[in-house]
Amino acid sequence: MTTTDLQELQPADLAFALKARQQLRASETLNYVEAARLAATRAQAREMLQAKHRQLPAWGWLAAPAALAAVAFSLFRFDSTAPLIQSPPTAEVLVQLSTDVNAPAADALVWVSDEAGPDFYRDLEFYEWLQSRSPAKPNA
Amino acid sequence: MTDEASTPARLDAFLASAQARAVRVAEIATRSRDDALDIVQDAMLHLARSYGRRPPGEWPPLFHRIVENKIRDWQRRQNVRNRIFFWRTPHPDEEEGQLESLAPDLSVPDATERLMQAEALQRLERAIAALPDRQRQAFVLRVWDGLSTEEAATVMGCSDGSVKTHLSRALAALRAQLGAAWSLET
Repeated sequence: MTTTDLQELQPADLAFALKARQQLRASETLNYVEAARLAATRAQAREMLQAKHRQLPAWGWLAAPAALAAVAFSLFRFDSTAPLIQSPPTAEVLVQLSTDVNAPAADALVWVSDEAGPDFYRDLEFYEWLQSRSPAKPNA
Repeated sequence: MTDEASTPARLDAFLASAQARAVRVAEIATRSRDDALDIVQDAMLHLARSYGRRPPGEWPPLFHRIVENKIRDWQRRQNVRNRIFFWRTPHPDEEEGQLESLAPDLSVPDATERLMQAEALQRLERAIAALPDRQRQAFVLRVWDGLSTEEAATVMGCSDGSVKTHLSRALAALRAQLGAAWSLET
């Protein structure tokens, strides 16, 4: 920045300008709080410059357009007016779908209650017999 | 391309040297110290983010231009806000606070002289704030910052002749508004 002396101005303008410059420059003050606030901002600006550029890696330049192209291609192929999309499914198709959905899987885990099974009553009879043989009969 | 390691320190030194004047320029344009500080903070970060890697010699005109653009954005926002919230008047406390901050301390020696200087400065600031944008820019850049006509033209994005014209009109308007006695009373 170069300082000029405003010599191209008329004398009256020049005198006024120099006086105004003196007044304005004398008023350039910051209090402690303002100076601290601006110092914090300058520190933030320094950190911005010190941080390395976050550049897109080389593979990104290939992967990003490829991903965009794949999305665009799939959207381009989608045709909402196709007859298969617009017509409702037939009853046979619905039955087939429900059969497939409801069919039990071979490896599915099945929970079976043992309350009604023979083992429950057998164990109960054994427990009652055991209780009857106990001299203390704590649960009698 | 500048030395990468020294660039942050050089930018810091430049901003430290330019911050106080930028705050005052923004304060005169906005009539608000807090808004002026916000504007300068935004401008600092903008300069670092967008032009920090540029040669340091380009920073001063870029910083001036960024500050001016931020001031213009602020003025546009204020215009919209005033149009929407036209019924809102300043809270009495706000006005009192402003008056208190402007009042000089009369308990110190030369209080009368300081009071006169403070009043003259306020009149000058009000007159500068009332100038059209381009004239205000030309005055600030040429008179206050001391840029050459060519540098001011680069910052303002116009020809040297336009800068001279704007400056001449600005000085004429300021002298007409402040009166011939202004220079003498200060």
